[in-house]
Parts: sequence; C-alpha cells; structure tokens
Amino acid sequence: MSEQPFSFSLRLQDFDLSRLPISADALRADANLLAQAITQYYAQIFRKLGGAANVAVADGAVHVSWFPEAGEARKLLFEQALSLLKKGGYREAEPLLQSLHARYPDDTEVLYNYGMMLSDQGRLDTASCLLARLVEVAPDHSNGWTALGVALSRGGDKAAALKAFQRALELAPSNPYALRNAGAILGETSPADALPLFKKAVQMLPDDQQTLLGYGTCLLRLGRQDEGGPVLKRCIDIDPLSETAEQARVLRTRLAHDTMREAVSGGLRPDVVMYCLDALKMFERDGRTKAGAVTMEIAMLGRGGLDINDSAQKYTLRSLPGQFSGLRLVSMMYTGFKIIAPDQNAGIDLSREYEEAKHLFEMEKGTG
Amino acid sequence: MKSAGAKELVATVERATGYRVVVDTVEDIGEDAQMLSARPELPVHTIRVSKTKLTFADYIVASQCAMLLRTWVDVTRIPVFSPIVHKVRYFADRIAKSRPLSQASADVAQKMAMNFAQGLLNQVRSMPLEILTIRDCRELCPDLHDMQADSVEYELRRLSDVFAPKIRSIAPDQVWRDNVSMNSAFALNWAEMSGSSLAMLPYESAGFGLTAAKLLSAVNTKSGKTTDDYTGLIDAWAKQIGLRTLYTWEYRNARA
Repeated sequence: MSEQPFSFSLRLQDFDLSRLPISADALRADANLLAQAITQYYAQIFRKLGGAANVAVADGAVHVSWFPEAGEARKLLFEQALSLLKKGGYREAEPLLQSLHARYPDDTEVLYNYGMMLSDQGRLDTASCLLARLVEVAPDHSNGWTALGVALSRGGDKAAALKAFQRALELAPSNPYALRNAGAILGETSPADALPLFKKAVQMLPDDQQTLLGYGTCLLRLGRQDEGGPVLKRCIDIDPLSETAEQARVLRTRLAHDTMREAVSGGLRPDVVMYCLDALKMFERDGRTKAGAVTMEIAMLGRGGLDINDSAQKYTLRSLPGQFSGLRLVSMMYTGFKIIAPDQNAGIDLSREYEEAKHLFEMEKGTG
Repeated sequence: MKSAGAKELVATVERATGYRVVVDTVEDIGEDAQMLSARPELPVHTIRVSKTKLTFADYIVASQCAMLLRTWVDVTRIPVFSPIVHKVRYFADRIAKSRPLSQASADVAQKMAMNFAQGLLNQVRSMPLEILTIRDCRELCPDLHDMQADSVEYELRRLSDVFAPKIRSIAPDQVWRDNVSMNSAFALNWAEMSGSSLAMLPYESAGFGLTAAKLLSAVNTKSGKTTDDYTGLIDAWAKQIGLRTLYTWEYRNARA
C-alpha cells in the first residue's frame, strides 16, 4: 500500500448535491443525513479504486484520504478519469476529476477535462471559472480557449465567447471546433462571414451534427435553400432523436412550409384543399381504422423527411395503392390526425386548407 | 436513437404485439414520456419522449418498450387499471377530513384530497411495473447502464423531495406514509441493483426499511411475465398500502 495518501478537503457547501440520489431540499433540512450521504458517497468511490479510504465530515467540510495499493495517486486517478470519459462514463469520472481539482487546483489537464465535462452537463458557471483559470495558467491552449468559448456561449455571453474562439483560431487556425463555434455566433448577424468557417469545419468534421446544423442554418440565412435543406437532412439522419436533430427538423419544416406558401404568395393552396377533401372522403368511406393505418404510415415515413415542394409522385404506401407526391401525403396525414387524434401535432400547419376542405366536404354532403 | 439495446427492444415489441412503434417528441408533460398503445383506429404504439428529457431519450424508449412487453404479454387480454369513481371519491373525502387539509376551505381541501388520492392510485399502478422494467432494461440494454443510472437517480431525487419540510407539511400523514412506503421500495430496488445503499438513507432513517423490503419482496415473488403476475403484483402492493378496494381490472383484446 502507498504511504503517500491522496488527500483533500471540500466544504460541504461546495459539494454538488445533485450527485446524490436524494433530494437536495431533504438533505439541506437534515444535517445528519447530509453528512452521512456525503461520507458514504466518497467512501464508495475511493474504495472501488482499491486500497484504503478514510472519509470524515467535520467543521463543515468533508475530509478524504485515499491510500492506493501501489503507484502514484494523482496519475492513477487522472488516468482512470480519462479512461472513463473516453467511454462516456461521466458519472464515475466526475467525482474523480472533482477530487483531483480539489487537490491540484491549477493542473491544466484537470482544468480542461473537468471544465469541458461540466460545460457539457450545463453547469456553466463552474465550467467557465475552471476554463478561464486554464487559459490564465496556459494562455497558448487553443482547445482551452475553444472550451471556454463554448461555456460562455452556452451561458449567453456571445461577445466574450467569440473573442475566445478568435483567440483559439489565432493559436491554431484549423481548430475545427473553434471554427464551428465562431461560425455559429457570426452566423447570427453575418452569415456571409460565417460560411467560410463552416465550410472549413465541415471538411474536418463531416459527421458532426452541430457543425452540419450550423452550416445548414447559415446556408438558409443566405437564401441558399437548395444547399441548406440536404445539409439539415444529413444532420437529422446522424442521430434522429437528438436535440440537434430536433432543431434541424424544425428548421426544415419551416423551410418546406415557407417554400410551399411562397408558391401562392402566402395564400391558400388549392391543391392542398383538394388533397384534404379527397382524404376526408376516403376516410369516411373506409373508416377510422383505415385512417389510422394510413396516417401513421405517413407519419413514420415523414420522420425521414417528405419533400413537399416536389410535385413528382415518388412515394408509395403499404396501406394504400398508388403513387403520391410528398404534399399529397402530408395533406392526407394532416386530415387523418384531425380525425383520429386532433391534439397530435402534425408538424405542419395546413389548418386553413383543412378548414376549407371540411367546408366543401360538408357542403357536398349537404350538412354545411 | 443510438442505443442498440433500445432498438432491439423496439423490434421485440413490434414482433410480440404485431404493431409498429413510432418514437416522437412532445412538449414538457411533467412525465418522461407519453405512451399511446395501439388500438384499431391508431394501429401503432406511439412513444412521445418529453423534450425536457431528451438526455435520457434512449433509456425512456427502452423502458416504455419493456412496459409494453409486460402489459401486452397476452394481446387478447390486456389489463386496464380502472378506478371505481365513487370509492375514490369516498377515499378522497376521508383524506380531506384529515389534517392539515381539514384546516383549509372545503373546496381547496376537496381538490387537494382528490389529487392525493389519484396520485396514490397512479403510483400503485405504475411503480411496481417501473421497478420491473428497470430490471428488464438493466438486463437487456447494457449500453444504457449509465443513462439508466442518471434517469433513476433523477427520479429518486424527485421522490425523496417528500422528506423536505415544505412538502412534508402539506400532506396528510397517511398519504405521506403511503407515498413514502412505495418510494422506499423503489429506492431499495435501486440500492440492491447499483450496489450502493445511498438511495435508502432517508428511508432507513425515517423507519421505512422493513416496509421497503416487504413491498420489494412482492415484486420478487410476482416478477413473471404473465398478465396474472402483473395484476397480482399491483394488487399485492395495493393491499399492503390499503388501496385495493378502489379499483378493478378490466381487460381488452387488442385483436378485436
């Protein structure tokens, strides 16, 4: 067993209670429970690493001493934390990094990795403090400046974030993350200036959702819809259930909707009215079960994106014979949802066309 | 959806029930997800993950699928938990007469009491199944272990809010004890699965260790994947908590 323990103390008020599976309000209301929980928390972490651990709460702080079985404690802990981070094991990595930071507050590797991890978890104030300290200790750390910029940007301080990205790019002009993030901020006010940054970033990070989202958004802002649409589709396809994909989906839907409306200067689309009317007739004839089957099949098809601005009849369904255009399918789906699940968001607003179709439908039936 | 385990569970549900699974998102609904199980006029299972819980999306989809696999084990006999309205109202009336609700205006006391009654019924209906699906996902989705731990611990933090004085003071004692009893079994299950007794600390210190063990033992006894085990488990919990007379089971045939 090592004779040199790894020891640190942490004020209880600095302990992040969200690491415990117990309500923070309940812990704050019961000092004994709080002390017991924090003691048990650290004891479990360090005993799992092997060796012996002493943990005690006294004078408003937790005091930890870990005696590894062999080797240098700092190296062992950091390597373990890094290996966990690489595997995505943030839960287990965090307390190790936090303990290392408590013991070695100016260690650049710890500041960088711990700061980035906290930033990813949305704990932006602490992340910004750690990363600001990192670039103070290591002013030539391009990735450090980038990570600081990301944390500042996430916290809403776009001006300071842009400065940090620009500093990162002065130090390493091809840093793809600095390019991507600087592009995202510049793109809000000056998409023409952001575009070359995104072009360069996307070459280096072709499968990065955020880069593709930023690039696609930038292209749309520049009026280059033909190029932006496919970029956003690719962004969605990489991980359809991610938050980034959700943002891309909203942008694509809005784009498709605007393009569709532009064709009639924002007015009513007569083709959509007729498609909705056909669907109302079909669903009345074939019943709710058929309506459900057709609607849900289109909804599933639509998750991958239906091209509503191409009149080609390029889609087929299992539940209905024939070939259909994207706009016709979306009109059918919209009508189907109005019948079987009116509260469900169909993802596109065809309400005016649907109301007109319904009016015509009722007139034809003699009930309108 | 990235998780191989979640994708496999979706495929298993589709094979076992004969209906496709559609995964979508929904605005914040106060729960992890909204599940619309298939019915003839809407012939797909729709899992709508709350946009505020997208961090746990893969795990939420996996656990919703695991729930479907347990409740749809016999597609011709899907159990539907049906509260008996007049008995629930009577139960709520009793709650309304106990402190501290008895000190509020009758209207406020009635509303709060009904919320408490419905909350307990919802908990007894869902929590035993949730425990089983946590176990199922642990076994079937090893790639989701971390996400599961984050999700369950988030839930444990939320559940143990009942120990905070501001919550403790507004709930009638029996309602509080019933709620904490069920929470304690949920915590004990996680303590056993994770190998860390941290989650049980507040329950042990409030004297709920034995209650937790009794309720969890019912889960262990009735963990089989049959309709009768599923309803039997909920009935066992409801009996222990004192809610068994407030609901009945109905069964629907997904093929009809």
